[in-house]
Amino acid sequence: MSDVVRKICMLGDFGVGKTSLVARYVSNTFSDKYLTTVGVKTDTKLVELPQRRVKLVLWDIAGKDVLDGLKLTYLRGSTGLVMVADGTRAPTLHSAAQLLRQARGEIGEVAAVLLVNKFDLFDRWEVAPSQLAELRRTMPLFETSALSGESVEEAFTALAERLP
Amino acid sequence: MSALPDAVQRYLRREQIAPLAAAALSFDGDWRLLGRSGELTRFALDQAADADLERQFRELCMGQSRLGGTRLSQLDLGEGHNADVHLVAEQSQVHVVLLDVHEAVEQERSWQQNAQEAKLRSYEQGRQLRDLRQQRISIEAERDAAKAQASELSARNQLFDQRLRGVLAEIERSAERLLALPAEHGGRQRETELLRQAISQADRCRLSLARAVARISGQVDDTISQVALDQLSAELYASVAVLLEAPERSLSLRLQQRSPEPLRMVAGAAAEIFHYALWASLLRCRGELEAVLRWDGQFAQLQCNSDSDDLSLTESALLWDQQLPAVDDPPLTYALFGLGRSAHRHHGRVLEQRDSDGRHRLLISLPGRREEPSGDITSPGFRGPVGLICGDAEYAEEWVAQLATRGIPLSLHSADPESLQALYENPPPALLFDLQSAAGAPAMAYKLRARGYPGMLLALGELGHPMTNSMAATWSAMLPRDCSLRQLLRTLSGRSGA
Repeated sequence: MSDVVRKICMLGDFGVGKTSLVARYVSNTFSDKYLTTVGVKTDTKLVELPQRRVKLVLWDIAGKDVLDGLKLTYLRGSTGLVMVADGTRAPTLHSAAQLLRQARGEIGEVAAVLLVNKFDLFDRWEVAPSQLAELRRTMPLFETSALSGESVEEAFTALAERLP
Repeated sequence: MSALPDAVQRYLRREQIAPLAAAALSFDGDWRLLGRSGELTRFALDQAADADLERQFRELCMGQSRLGGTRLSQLDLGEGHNADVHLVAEQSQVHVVLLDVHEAVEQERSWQQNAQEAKLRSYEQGRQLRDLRQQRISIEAERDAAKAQASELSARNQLFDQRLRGVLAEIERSAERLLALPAEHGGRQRETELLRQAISQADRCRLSLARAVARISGQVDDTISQVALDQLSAELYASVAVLLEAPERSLSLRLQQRSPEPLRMVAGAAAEIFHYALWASLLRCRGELEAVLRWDGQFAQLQCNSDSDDLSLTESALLWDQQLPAVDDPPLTYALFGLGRSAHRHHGRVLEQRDSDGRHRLLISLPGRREEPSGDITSPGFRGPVGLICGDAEYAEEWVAQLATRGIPLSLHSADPESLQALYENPPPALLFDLQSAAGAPAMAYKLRARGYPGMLLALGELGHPMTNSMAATWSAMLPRDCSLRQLLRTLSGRSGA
């Protein structure tokens, strides 16, 4: 079984839960205190797939709705993108779509998944289901909860399976 | 602390980088560590094993150019260390230069944290404001509806009260006359018959009142049935019999069956609406009221020609809208208002005209209802199958049995990921969610819809929290948990929303 290392960038507006998703995925922890990310933080996680093992180097990039020149440098070498939106704030879905366009413009058509996070706060969701049905046609989409862990593992595995 | 390599020092001078605590790790072309220098303890690099540093920085610099000029700003190295990372090339080596920016990062973090928390708070406040506005709109709509219903109920009560009083007075008079007559008197039979009629009239008043109350409380009986014109005519005569006892008033009601098609309507609608029309016309008529009851295949019509124009329909509506007391002639006002409201509810039209002789004409048209394709005009066309997401076995069994009577198969599911997947792969045309017993039902419904499920998602029960736009876009309809089979089938067949 071969091992490969792949760089993955987490992109999304501020406060959507990128850091919490990484914490849930990598160390199975969650903190309900919001602590903003400045710059970038990296973490790694080994994914066992049937054919190979993939070591994901996760770049948790500070939340923005647009990436400036410095942040674009972070993307170099990425083979996958985890786009994150917050289901309780509909505009963050638009930000995720915009960031994906910007990132692909910089590094090409790399694999991507979309995580619509905070499904534990489902009764406050603002995103219409039809909007997600539409987006699901273009890329794998998961309703996730960093708090409960719902669909987090599945989402990262789905991305790992799509990596070169 | 060892001195930084010359190439790194030259680079820092050339780039005019402010004097910051710095460390450098020098690697060969294969990312083998050649040396460490600078303030290593600042970045906890002094104790780390070579192999760990080689792996860590190889992964960190993946995809970055080794030719120099690469900058990665504000990298969180863990354990409270933050660095700007610069790659400086020197022949076959690359120096990874780390500049301590911890203080600047902490300052920025503090500023950014405050700014973002303020934005989140502002967004949340905006959402709460929107929710409040929405709630206010809903409450106002409910209040208006309740007000209108209360007013209508009040008007109907007054009208029925008038009628009932008249009828009861007649009963009393008849009873007194009856008691005054000797047992063998020939008129006793007639008086007994009058009394029987008056009692029957009172009973109809009671039924009308009960029907009106049921409508106000939302229990509308919308069963469509076939109406015979002659039977309708007899009902109408009977319903205004009390008014016809006045010596100056009489009614001639002609029938015109212009179409062989049977007249089908919501049960009681024509009798009620035409009763109001006749009642109002008789109240303002000082002689004979000529009326025509006709069915032309599309509309059932009642035309009333009278010689008086004491109070028009428009005026009564005006009085009603302005909530003015009907001081002049309350029964007439309420009858006209009842006519307008009832006709409107059944998609009818009421016209007031004046003919060339100056006589007043009231024309009420009610659309007939067509026969359903199934032959049974009350049974909806939905044939299933249906899925039920429910955690209450007894409740589920009830629906299985009820739907079986209509030949509709019902499959049972729980609100878990496996069921979601199964339903997603093999979706029935409609799914019912018991909100009371299946806690995850709303989320499951949302996920199905978000996966493009095109069928009907029907909630049975109440959500327990205000419905967001996303939830409103999820459900096709909501029904009370104890809804009837008929209500359910009508909703499933798309004939009435909730």
